[in-house]
Amino acid sequence: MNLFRLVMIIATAGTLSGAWWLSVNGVGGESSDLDRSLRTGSGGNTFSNSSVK
Amino acid sequence: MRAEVAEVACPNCGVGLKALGGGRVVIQVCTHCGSALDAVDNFRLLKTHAELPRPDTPLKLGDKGRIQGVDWVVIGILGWSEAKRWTWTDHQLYSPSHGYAWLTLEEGHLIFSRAWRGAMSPTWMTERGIETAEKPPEIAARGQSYRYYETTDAKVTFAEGEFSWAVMVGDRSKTLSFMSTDAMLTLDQGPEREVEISTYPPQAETWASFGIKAAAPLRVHPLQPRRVWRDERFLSGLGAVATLVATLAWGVLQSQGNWVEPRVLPKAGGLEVEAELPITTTTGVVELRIRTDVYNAWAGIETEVTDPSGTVLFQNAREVGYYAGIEDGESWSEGSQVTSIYFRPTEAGDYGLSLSVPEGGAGEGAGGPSLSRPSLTVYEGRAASMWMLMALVLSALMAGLPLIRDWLHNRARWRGSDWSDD
Repeated sequence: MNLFRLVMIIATAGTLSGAWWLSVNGVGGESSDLDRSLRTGSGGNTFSNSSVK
Repeated sequence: MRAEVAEVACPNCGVGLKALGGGRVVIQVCTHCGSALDAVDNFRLLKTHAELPRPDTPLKLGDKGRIQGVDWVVIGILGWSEAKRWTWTDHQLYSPSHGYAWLTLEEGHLIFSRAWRGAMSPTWMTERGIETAEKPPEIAARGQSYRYYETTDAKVTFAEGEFSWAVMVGDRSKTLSFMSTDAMLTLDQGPEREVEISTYPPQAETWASFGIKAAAPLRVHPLQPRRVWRDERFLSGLGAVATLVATLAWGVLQSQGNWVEPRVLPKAGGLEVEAELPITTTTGVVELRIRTDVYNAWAGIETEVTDPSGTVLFQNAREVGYYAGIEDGESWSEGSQVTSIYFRPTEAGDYGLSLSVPEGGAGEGAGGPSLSRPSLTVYEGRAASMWMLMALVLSALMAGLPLIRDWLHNRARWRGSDWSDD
């Protein structure tokens, strides 16, 4: 096996392991709209551009 | 057919011209003064084109090389131009055992062409036929399908040496080209209806056989085969295995997490919910899944979570809305009755939750909330599976590398086609 193949196997295994670790630990899994009050966060019904009759 | 001669003297300038091209040469163009001589009429002077710009080619008359296992000698050089923008050089080749062929040099690419007299279906194609076709016309030959590529209307700008057809500087040639996966059929629209087949010889090997070291061309030629990387199949296989692993892992992560039974406090009423959440782990995130029964209505839901010490961890405001109906006989729906809030617990313990619905309305109005009390489902230890999803996409791209490269290469090959669906 040449060096390139070895590096690619290690890189792939590292990527999958890293993705597993980040996923299991919920990294970046928090909602992005925490600490948002209703008064600043809501502008009423935002479905106004929909096909609502 | 001309008589066999080794050398002739140009009747215009007297320079000795070698005769390399066998008995079917009909025109010889003087390398010194550009005079065209009739090779089948005792080298009678036909025309003189002096001081024509020489095409940029490292090959010269008399050069010998090997293509497709046959030894060839360069006997003639033709410069071509289409609309003064596109130029290429044809080298007429001769082999005593295999006759005549062409070696074209175009943007650094060598193309090998020979006359094609095999079966074709249809047997001929005209420019008019191309113009009136609704989709790119195809020709079946050699067990392959050749799709229309382009129409070329070119002019001879330079000539020297011997040629097996009567060609002069200034002559025009209109051709239709059809391309398969690895070859091109060219139909000469002149009175003789010649068909040529062109292929892409191994470049470095061909140049080396002529004793020339040439730089690799930059652009992709339509006939150029895709260069397969040495480890391409290995990478694709590795990507396929990684895709399988990532898919399985993503499935596992999607279902990861434990249900937490909230202790709903009785003090709240109406649309308000007060609850304690007994969280046991700080691994992963907590999901608060809030389910409503809004229907053709919306509601603004305000949430506040405190940690085990009573400190406010976060406040959040969400809007849920669900609309459905029937329009033009087709049912439609939009939005969702459910929303999920994810947060990271700082420690294990009882977290406080306060949920209220201060705003809402039916339809698009804001006449007040129009729903029953929201229900709450809580999970702890939930995974952020987006990371595995990203790994899955990367793995799939690696697995599909040969297909992606095939697609890109084919797109580059057909980029020069003048077919238009309009």
